[in-house]
Amino acid sequence: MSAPLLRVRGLGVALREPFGPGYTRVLGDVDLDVGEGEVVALVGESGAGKTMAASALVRLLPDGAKVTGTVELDGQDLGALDERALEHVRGRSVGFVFQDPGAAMHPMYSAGWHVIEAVTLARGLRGAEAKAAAQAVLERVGFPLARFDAYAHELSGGMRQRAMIAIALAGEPRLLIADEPTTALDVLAAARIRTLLGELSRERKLGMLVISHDLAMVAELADRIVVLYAGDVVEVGPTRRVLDHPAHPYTRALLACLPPDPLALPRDRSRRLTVIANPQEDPAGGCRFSPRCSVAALRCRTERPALLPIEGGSARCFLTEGPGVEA
Amino acid sequence: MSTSRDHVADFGEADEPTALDALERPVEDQGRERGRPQALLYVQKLTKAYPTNRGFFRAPDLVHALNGVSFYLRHRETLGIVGESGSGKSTLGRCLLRLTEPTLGRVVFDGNDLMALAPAELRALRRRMQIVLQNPYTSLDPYMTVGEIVAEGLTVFGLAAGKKDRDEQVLGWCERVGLDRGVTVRYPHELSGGQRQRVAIARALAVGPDFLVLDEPTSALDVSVQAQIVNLLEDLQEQLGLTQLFISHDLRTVQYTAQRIGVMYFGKLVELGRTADVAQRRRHPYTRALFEALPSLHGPRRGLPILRDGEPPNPLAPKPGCAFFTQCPNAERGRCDVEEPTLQEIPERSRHRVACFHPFDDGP
Repeated sequence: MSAPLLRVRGLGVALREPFGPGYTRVLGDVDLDVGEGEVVALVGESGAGKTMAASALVRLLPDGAKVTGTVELDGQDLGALDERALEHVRGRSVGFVFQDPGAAMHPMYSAGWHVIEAVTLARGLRGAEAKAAAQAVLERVGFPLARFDAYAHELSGGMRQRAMIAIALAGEPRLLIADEPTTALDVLAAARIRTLLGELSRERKLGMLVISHDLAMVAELADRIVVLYAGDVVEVGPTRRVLDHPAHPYTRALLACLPPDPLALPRDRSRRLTVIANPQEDPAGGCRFSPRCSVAALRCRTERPALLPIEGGSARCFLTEGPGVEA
Repeated sequence: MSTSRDHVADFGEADEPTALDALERPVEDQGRERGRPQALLYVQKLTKAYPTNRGFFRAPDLVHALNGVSFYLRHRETLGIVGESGSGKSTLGRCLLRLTEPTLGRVVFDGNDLMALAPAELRALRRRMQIVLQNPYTSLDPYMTVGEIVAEGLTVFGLAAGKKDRDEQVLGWCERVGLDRGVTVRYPHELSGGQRQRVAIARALAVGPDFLVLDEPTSALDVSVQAQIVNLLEDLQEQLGLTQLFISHDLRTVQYTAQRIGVMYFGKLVELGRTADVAQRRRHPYTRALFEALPSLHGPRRGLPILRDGEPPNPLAPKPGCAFFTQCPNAERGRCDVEEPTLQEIPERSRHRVACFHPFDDGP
């Protein structure tokens, strides 16, 4: 197998404490691969480090952040690039889609203007050529050209997100990073954007890193899932394996919290939702999830587990060591 | 204090065609005149229209955020209201409590017509109708401690006999919603999102309401915290005999927790019925699209529901007929774009109503 499009090894981020000389670890030791045309989902709850991981890939981090590890895109080490070269990567090799497309667009410029600007910056096109290219990409993402001159506030959430995707695609990137692309949208608009992202990934061999807290959304879109907990990757595997046979207790607990599928049978009213114990202080030693884990053993509280291969991926848990454990 | 908890209506799965069903039809003076009201809340043709600014020299137009919504809520029932943003869900919740003044329509709460009440009477009744909002970051006063926030309602309604009693009640409520005693001296910003939502629930419950409007109570929370809040609300409902209107765009949570579901589209109820009927049968084409657009966690991918790709309705320029016409796969030209369907009972299915000329047949 050839090298993946994106190869991340040991990515760690520490942010400077607001008052004082210390650093706070927000992300530790993340390994991540995204292949051509592959959709990888980074899932976890708020504060797990999902967005930080995506920002660290192209070093869009607050001042004073310490980054460790290597990030290779298409074999090129992004860590070795200076700021100018990095800017070339952002927007050209890597496109971004954010949760709130309204905030990402300038309120006084039209949707079409944004796409023309992106096409101009990324591909050096001018005038009619730039406009034609912008229209082509807008057409592909299903943005009605009649609304080319509409401003962000005149567009629905779904249309804004389509414009945002067009901007991200303007530089014909190899990798698209989508941070909660459907979270701010209504159910139907979310389904349309999800479907569009899947199509784009397939037809353009576009690698995609989708960040989401929504496991069901990820189930429809991603080929592989990476679960983050407290800055650590705790489980990796193909989507169906992770969701149908979760190996890590955190993944299992997260899935159990969700109310059952509305299209499934009616609820058994004697049953209640499973909950995860409240977050605790990060334990000094031992597994970071152990204070909330329902199956934690003595060893889990004293020793930190490593991310180890299991059948169908890897997991950071002592209890899944050895041959594959079925949930 | 309240008497309504003494006569709890049974809402078992039995399909008895009761007088309750008549509540959704235009019946005058429902409530006290019939003896004890069977429903705690009775809403008839509730409408909220906002004037739009069309420029200085032109008369304002009206935009209907809520358009002729009728339903009832039985004692101890949870009615879920689902729909997309802009469908009028939140306006409905606010109009029920008269936090937003409805333009037309009636709300009868335990035999009291809210629209006919004098301000002082309404104020007294508000003790019995409380609301919990989506965003606990903005719905709690940042300059008040948790203790002060929960105590405020007790003071306003004179429900505490002295400071000692008040403090005891506050501590009691904090404990009931799962907060440590220590939080009463803390400020909202020191708490997590889940804790803050518990404070908002304690504040609402401290004054002893019968009816609770929950407007997206779990939407701003993490998945693991959502489950805690849903369980808490169910426990409290059972212990206190609460009647709830659970507004949410999250179909999973609503179908999990509500006994009946109302689906809103463009300011109207388009389907209303028991959860099993609405979620599993999905008669209205919009309901069907909404539920089938939900991603599936297990099993094969669902992809997109089948819809025509017409423009969604524009609230500033409403067209005659059904608002869903442009996107509806079942639409009939000449009827659906001319006549407006009203919420009608499905024959042989009492208590399941659909506003559609061409609803889907039974079963998915």
